[in-house]
Formats: sequence, C-alpha cells, structure tokens
Amino acid sequence: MSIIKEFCSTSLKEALSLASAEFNVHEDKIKYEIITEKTKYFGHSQREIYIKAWPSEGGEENQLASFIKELLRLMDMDLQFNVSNGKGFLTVDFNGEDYKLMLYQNGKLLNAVQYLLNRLYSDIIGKKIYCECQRFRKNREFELTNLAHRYARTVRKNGRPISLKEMNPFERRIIHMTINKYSDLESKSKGDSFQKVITIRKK
Amino acid sequence: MKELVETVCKSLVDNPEEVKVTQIDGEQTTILELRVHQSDLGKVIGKQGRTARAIRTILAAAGMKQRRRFNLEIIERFDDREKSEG
Repeated sequence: MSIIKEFCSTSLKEALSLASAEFNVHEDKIKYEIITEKTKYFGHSQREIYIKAWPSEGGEENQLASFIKELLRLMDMDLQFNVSNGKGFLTVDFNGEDYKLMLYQNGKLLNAVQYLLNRLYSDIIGKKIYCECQRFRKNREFELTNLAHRYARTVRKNGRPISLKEMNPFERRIIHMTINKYSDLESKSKGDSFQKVITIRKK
Repeated sequence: MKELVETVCKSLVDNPEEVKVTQIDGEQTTILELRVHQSDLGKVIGKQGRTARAIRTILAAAGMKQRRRFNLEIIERFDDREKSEG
C-alpha cells in the first residue's frame, strides 16, 4: 500500500529532503532506490540524480506518533510517550509530569485516549493499540485479581451473593477469570450499558 | 481548546472541511458548539455516545490544567430549526 514516487535533484541529500516533504515523514524513514545518476559538464559541472522513494513501513506508526504529539500539545499536557511494537498490538506508554491527570478516575483519560487512537488508527496499522501509563494496567490487573479473591472468600463464608461496582469489559474479564477458578462460585454481569455490575454467588 | 476539538473531530469525520466549532465563553464554563456534516454526526457521537464521551473526557482533562470547565455540545440540525441536545 506504499506509494512510490520519483524525485530528481542535484544531490541525494536534497532528493531525500524533497521526498520527506512530499510524504510528510522524517528523512530517516524514507526508503529509496537510485535510478540514474548523471554528471553534466555544461559550463560548470552539475550532477543530477533520480531516485525512487517511498515512506518506510513504519509510516503509519509515524502518523500515529505525530497525532499523539499534536494531541498532547493541544491539551497542554506535560507528557512524553513511547511507542513499542508487541505481538499483534502496539503499546503507547505515557510518562511525565501530568501522569496523574492521565490516571484520574481509574484511568478515564487513558481509556478515552486509547479508544480514540483505536478508532483512528487500528484499521490503518492493522493492530490494536494499548495505552499504558506508569504500569497502570498491570497494577489494576493485580488489584482486581486480589479483590476478586477477597470477595470469593467472603461469599464462600457467608453464602450471600455480593455485587461489585460497575466496571468496564476489561476489568470484568479479570474478575470473571479469577472467579472461574473457584468451582463452587459463579459470576454474572448485569446491565446493558458499557459499564456493567458483576454479582458473585454460590452455585 | 477550540483547536483541540477541531483537530480530533477533523481526524474522525469524512468531511473535515465541514467541521465547525464555535466558542461561547461564560464566567466559569466555556461552551463549545460542534457542527459537522449531517452524515458525520454518527462518527463524532459513536456507539452509545462513546466517541463523544471520549472527546468530552479529553476536554475535561485539558480543562483541569486551565481550571476551567468545558462543555461540548454537538449540534444536530433538523430542517432549519436548530435543536441542541442537553
């Protein structure tokens, strides 16, 4: 799906900068092939070079990175980010002064940014995008597993079902998986919106 | 802030040239009215308002830095009569 275009200039460096302006990506990310290289002698010597150039495969990821950069600039957030490639997904890790804002109300902003980035870029890149900040998701997983174990013990002891507060699908999945390990307990989600309430009860 | 909403919405819609944001400054809150092409309304609202909610969350967080509330209103047009959702 990459676009190949031809450029002509007096030196390779200049031709590459032309290409980088055309594709709107950094020169390092331009891949090229030299078609012809001529040296003319009309009065004063002048070289002429033709190249075939196209943005490298990481072009879409660059688009993503520049969008995040623009977003953070417009939001006036003091944050840096790091894009790393995982198996089947991209991880965008945010770091910096304003990480607290990113994580307020259980990572509301982090989830919003993740959703938006997926809406815009997951189709183009062909991968899901995960947003991470200060190991928030890892910690949340740990926290929720502990929470599920604690409630499981209480339900076992008292025999009464317990309802947890509303959670998003990612969080519910962790709870369900933990409760499934207990053979005498079951967990059900209730509600029809994005956020649902889990009830843990004895079978 | 106006620019933020414009940038995000322009990247979401099919007709970016028809994205218009008007800013109405109040004492403590600023209302941002978003107008998009009729066929792009669904794109900025999303399934069960998820995209709209994400934009509002981003706006709220950006507003926290400025200690100001921002209210995003998506304007839908029915015929010539304007109707805004609350």
